Amino acid sequence: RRPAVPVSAAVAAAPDGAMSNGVYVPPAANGDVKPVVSSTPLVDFLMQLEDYTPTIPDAVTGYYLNRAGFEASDPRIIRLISLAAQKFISDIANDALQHCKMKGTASGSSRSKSKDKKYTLTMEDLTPALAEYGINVKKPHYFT
Amino acid sequence: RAGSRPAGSPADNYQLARRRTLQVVVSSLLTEAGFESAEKAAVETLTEMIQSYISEIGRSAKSYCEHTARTQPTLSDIVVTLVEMGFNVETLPAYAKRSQRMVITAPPVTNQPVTPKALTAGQNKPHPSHIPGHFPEFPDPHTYIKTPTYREPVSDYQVLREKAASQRRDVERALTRFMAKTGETQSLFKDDVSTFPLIAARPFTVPYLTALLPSELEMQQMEETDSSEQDEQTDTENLPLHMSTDDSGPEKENASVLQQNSSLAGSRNGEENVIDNPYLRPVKKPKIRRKK
Repeated sequence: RRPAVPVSAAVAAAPDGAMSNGVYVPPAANGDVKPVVSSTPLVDFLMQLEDYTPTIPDAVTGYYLNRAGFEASDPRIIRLISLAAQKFISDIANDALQHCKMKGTASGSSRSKSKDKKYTLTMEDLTPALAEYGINVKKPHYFT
Repeated sequence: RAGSRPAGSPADNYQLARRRTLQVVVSSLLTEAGFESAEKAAVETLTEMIQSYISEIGRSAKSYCEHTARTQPTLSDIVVTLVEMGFNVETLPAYAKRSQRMVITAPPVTNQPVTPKALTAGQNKPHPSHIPGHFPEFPDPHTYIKTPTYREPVSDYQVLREKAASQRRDVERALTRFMAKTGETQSLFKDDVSTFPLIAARPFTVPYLTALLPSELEMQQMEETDSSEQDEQTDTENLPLHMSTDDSGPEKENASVLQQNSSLAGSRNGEENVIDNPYLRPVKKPKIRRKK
């Protein structure tokens, strides 16, 4: 389920086929690869990020980044990373919700209320959702 | 790293607080997705995942940045990292705008680990110039400085003379009391025997004998030099007592005096044979060989 995202790194060299902002675009384009002509995609998004506070506090994200050796110069970078992590978890949660709904309505229960409104995230829903991302978890049901 | 709850150090509490914040964040994300409740194991799994995700982004971004001989990571490093991890960066602005209505929870934790100042004693030594300022301070001076606690010896002449004199007096007194307790005593007072014991003055029958006799040390040396004829001398100690005052020869004199001393000791021993005091046992003199 890895999306085929084109890499648009700011490359210094500019051989022919390069756009005006220095990004190299290969001239022969087959169907899969979609050349991205914009600059680093999130630059302007980063500007909007100044007033937006993601759910994860900056201190917490900064703490984990520092433990990994990442010294953040710009606080907006930290917000970007925390947003990315949030989105990661949200995607997994949405997939798990889909699984949960599928299990509920697949057996053809009453349509009056499309399954009860209470969805509980269980490991049985989470495991196949994570398996699509390539993460295999095996949790024991009980501990002896 | 997570889960156990002993009385942790401030660093442990620091870690745990942040992990709890991540759990709260995960829970809020799940709530936003539409879940009402979640299994504990599932929340733990997601918390662990988000922590690893953030750490991995940091590590990978740092690696990419250093790969191009830089030290400060930039936006491009992060974009490359996210792409490499399979994250669709194009959807990120859409996601951010979508979740504007989401509740912003999880206030940051504010407990900083603080080293207590209550236990410092004395002034720490300041840093020498070659040590940068952000290094930790020197430890308390009492950890590496030791002052010896003895007083210097008294070298005053008067005090030393007094000390020597009192020591000598004590030794003399102790020795005389010892001799009085183990030997015969005379007393000055008729009724009070034990207060001032005097060493009894028993005259020798032959007063000049001690001048003639060799000392024990010399006799031992004589014995060690030629120690071949010791057996013949065993009989001299068992001869009956007889007081002979003729000074015939030095060996005969020795033999007689030996018997005299041993007999005196024997009589004394006969009175106190119940007490096995090592100081009161008969003196064992070394054997004399008879020089031929």
